[in-house]
Amino acid sequence: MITPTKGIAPDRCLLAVGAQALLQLDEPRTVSQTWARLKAWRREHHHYSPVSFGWFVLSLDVLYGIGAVELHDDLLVVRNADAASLEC
Amino acid sequence: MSADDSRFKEIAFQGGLNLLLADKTEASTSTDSRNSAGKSSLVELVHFLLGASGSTRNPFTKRALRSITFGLDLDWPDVTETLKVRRSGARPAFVTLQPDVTAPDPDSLFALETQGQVEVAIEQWNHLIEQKLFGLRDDHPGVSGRTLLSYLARRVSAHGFNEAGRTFSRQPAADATTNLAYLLGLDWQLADGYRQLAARDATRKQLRKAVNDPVWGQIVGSTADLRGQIALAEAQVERLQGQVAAFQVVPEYEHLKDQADELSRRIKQLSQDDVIEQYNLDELQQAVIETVDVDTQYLQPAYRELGIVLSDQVRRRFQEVEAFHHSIVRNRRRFLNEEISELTARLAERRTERARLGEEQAQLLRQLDEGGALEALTSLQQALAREQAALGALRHRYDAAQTLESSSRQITAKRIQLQQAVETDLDEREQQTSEATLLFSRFAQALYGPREAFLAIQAGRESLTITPRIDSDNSRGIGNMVIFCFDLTLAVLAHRHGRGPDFLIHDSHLYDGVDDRQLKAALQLAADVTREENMQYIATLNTDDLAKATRLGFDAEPYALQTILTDAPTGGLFGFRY
Repeated sequence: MITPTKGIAPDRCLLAVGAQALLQLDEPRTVSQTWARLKAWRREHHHYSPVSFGWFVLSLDVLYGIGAVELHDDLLVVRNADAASLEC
Repeated sequence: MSADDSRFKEIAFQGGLNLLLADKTEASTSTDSRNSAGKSSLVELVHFLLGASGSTRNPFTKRALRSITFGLDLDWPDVTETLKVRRSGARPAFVTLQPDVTAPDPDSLFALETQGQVEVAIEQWNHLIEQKLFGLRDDHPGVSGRTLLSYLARRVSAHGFNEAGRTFSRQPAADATTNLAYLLGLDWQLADGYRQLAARDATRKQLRKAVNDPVWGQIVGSTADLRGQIALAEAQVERLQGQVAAFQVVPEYEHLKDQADELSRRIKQLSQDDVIEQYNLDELQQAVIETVDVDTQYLQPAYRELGIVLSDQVRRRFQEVEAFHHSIVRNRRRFLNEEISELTARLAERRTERARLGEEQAQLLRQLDEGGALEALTSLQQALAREQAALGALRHRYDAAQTLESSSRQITAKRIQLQQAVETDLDEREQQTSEATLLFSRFAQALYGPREAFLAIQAGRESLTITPRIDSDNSRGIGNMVIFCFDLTLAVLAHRHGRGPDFLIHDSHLYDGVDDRQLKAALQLAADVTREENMQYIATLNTDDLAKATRLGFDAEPYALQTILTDAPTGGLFGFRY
């Protein structure tokens, strides 16, 4: 699921989707905006394998789990890796 | 009479009878001829100097003679010295007069300024001749000095000896008699009525012909056609007038139009926005369903896998991740719902906006439809003016056509009226007519003895007819003598009453075929009459013709001019043959 498996294509695995979602978060954005941008990005880069909103939220969960993003005032914010390690 | 060419035979005329003779020289052979010695040219030259047109047909403008300036010295009323007239074929449009007799004011208290010479246009010279020699006043339609002069100096070249009443062969009777009437002291203006009627009739006939022509007929047309066309045009004018009257000018028409355009643009834009947002709304609603559907069943296995794959990286506990997940989904749903209600509100708002704009636009369009701009009114008025002008033209044509159709009757009626008037006038002018008739019959009897000879002056249908008659058979010789008597009568009467100059010129052609006795009698008569009347009679003759008269006892000695033309190459009037 997180990494590619037999049933999950490399461009659909949560890490890949999460990485793509991070690409959209060059600034704090709303969930919907991030989701819209991600879909556009995937179309542009010819990733046609289906990614549902639920799957997108799962990838965000993964990112949150590893401390890569946080939700601040309803906006998704990328967390600096150094800042994340400092916080722990 | 003179010329600046030394070969020209200068001629000095005297009072009374003058005979210019053409002789045979002793050296002449049987093939020489006195024809073209210059006898007829004398008459032509008199005409040239007294204002004949200088057209290219005139022999004096031809190459042989154009370099010569001819001159005539004549007595002129109001001046004591003789008037010197000079004209050359090189400058045929002008004559030189010395002294200057063109004084502008004939009533001037001072004597005419008689110094120096003046060059006048030929038209002015003719005008002067008409005024001074023929006593014509300013306006005299139908009578011209040139025609009058042609009776006193008939031209062979114009076939002036064919008929007593005409000075050239195809002269219209009405033209000729108007001038004759003037010389005889009849009412020339009445006689001129014939000429005007003839002119009108000629015009009418031409027009009649034109109307009958299929193409040209359209220019005037028949009254019946025109009446119909006028009715149509009137209706059209009336319709346009009604439109102009009912027209409402909408102020700021252009502005309103721009507004309407702007409104329709906005309405269009609103519809486009609607389409887009409706699409968005559908998307959002779809997304809401998606969000609802997402369950959390994947979360746990995902988190478990996270522990396996990235165990050292996991910083959050499952509960935290779960809370994050729910807050995202809730957030998302709240956001979507807000978005949806916002969109729905916007769509509703837009609907009302569109309805309002539509109403506004309809109102504007109604306003624009009912009235028009100022330009529209102007163009409507222009169309009206055009139609009115066309109607006016049609009415003119109708008048013309009507005149044309009725003019034939009018002309006939006028003719009868005129004939009556002339007849009455002739009755009342018995003195003048009898003076002329008596004079003519006296001359005729001097030539032919006690024969019936008279002037028949009649009010004809087409013209006043003035016919000299000598009771005899119609021989050529007698015909010529009729002309002689007639011309003499004209000249004497005109001179007596101040309507003509004091000279009469006859070419030798007049005496062709005249019996010796009549020739003698005619010359004698001319000598006597001119002496009595203080006039001048100039005739050109061949010497042998004169010899016939002298044999019968006519003494030509006092009358023959010093200058004698001969058949020698240098013996002609101009001194050379051309």
